[in-house]
Amino acid sequence: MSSTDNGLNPDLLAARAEAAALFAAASRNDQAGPTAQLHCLAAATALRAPSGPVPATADATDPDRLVEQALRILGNLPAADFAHPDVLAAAQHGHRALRAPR
Amino acid sequence: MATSLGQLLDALADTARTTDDSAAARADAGTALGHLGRALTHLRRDGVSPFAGDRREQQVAALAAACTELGVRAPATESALTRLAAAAADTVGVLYDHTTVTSRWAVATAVAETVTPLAEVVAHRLPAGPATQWHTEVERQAALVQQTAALQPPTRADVAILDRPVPGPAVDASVDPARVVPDAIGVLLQATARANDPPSVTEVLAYTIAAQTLSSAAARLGSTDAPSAGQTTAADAWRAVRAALRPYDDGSRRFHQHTPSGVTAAGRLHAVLRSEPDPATWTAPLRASVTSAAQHLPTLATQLLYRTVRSWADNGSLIAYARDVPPREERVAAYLRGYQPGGLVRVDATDLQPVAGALHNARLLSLSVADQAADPGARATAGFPRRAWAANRALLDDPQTPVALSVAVQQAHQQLQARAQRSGPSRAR
Repeated sequence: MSSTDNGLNPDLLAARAEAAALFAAASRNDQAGPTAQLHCLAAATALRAPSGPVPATADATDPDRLVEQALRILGNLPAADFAHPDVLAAAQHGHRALRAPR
Repeated sequence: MATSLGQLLDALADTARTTDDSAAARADAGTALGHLGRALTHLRRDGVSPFAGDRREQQVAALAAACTELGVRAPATESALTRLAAAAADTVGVLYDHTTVTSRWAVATAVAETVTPLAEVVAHRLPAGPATQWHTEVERQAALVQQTAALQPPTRADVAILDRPVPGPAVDASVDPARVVPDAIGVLLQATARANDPPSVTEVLAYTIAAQTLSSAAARLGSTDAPSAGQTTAADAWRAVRAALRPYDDGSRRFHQHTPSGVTAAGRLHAVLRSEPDPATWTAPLRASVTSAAQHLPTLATQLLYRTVRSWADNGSLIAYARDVPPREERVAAYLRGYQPGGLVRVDATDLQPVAGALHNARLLSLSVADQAADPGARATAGFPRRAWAANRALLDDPQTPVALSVAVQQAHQQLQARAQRSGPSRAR
């Protein structure tokens, strides 16, 4: 598998980008409480993925489901990739978002 | 002063992140990791998965072992990190009766998250050798537990265990009401957590008085308007629980050398809140402690319903006069004997349905009053049980809850009306 300039393989980068997009969508969802939104923003930022506009269709999905989906993507990474401090921090923020009030 | 596992773990993680890089701090963090290993061993032994020996259990066991091994190799010390971790590990043991498999998984996840900042403190200038190997293993296993948690995240209801108040040592009656309230609610939650050795009917009656007083205080705090006449409140729902319990007894005349701790706590909570009826005169800490304590009222109702009442029903430990329980064909003889010893029957789950229904109503109305009391100002105070509030909010946001709540209001009102109509000469006691 080829590596990119920053030493991360393309699959890992794609997974991080997908998880970050889901966290970003949850952070802008009106149904999420302010604390959850903050943790989602922190999770998306921690993953250091290039940001993009959030599709309006994401608002129709429950923010908890978006966070769970993002966590599932991160949880399915190889253990060594999950243990990367950025990913670990994003997962911790994701958990806190799920614990935060709606 | 009451504390909670969540407060201890949060303080531990925050202290670890801000601690200086020194040999003493590294030793302190290493010893603290040993205590977290003890907490994880507790959790693993009690079960963190419905399937014995599955991935969750293996990973928690491996993390516990790694933390313990690293702790053993740390120079003996007892500073801030060690004291916090030791208190957290002890609290995990104290909370055993309150936990389920899923809530223990939530606790294990929170502990694994706390391991990471502690391991970072230890990491600096660690000499090569077994300690370094165990440190690497701690970091690896902590990440694995968190990875499994990412795939199987605990729910808000499970995470609420982190906010469960654990009472401190008993304090004199003269102390600040702001300290009495959280301690008392902690004692009540502890007294109702055990399914084996449940409290007696008399004890539960005392708990419902405390719950009624606390609900009433929280309602006054959450609203400036007095409830309109005829409007059923959470306090009324707790009164209805007491009314529903009236016919039952455990049939024993036990001599208590000392008043049970739960009854003492209920009495003190009632006394301090009755002595200061006007929330306008309350100090800010008292307002905060009433708001925080109210967040645990739904849990108190749940524990009374699913542990205490279920245990009474399963063990057949209560008796009542056949005339005072829902009539049944096989009890005609006992019914005809009236309020005489021959009229007593052993109570089962069907007989206890009115009590279960009243507790269900009290739980729903307590959810509502707890949420009203938790205004943004109250939620911003230190020590506010935000995870418990989040779990309450999640239940209130359930689409079925508004209907259930209006049914609960009606039923609580009807129960009290029925009780009032029946109040007259009944059994001889």
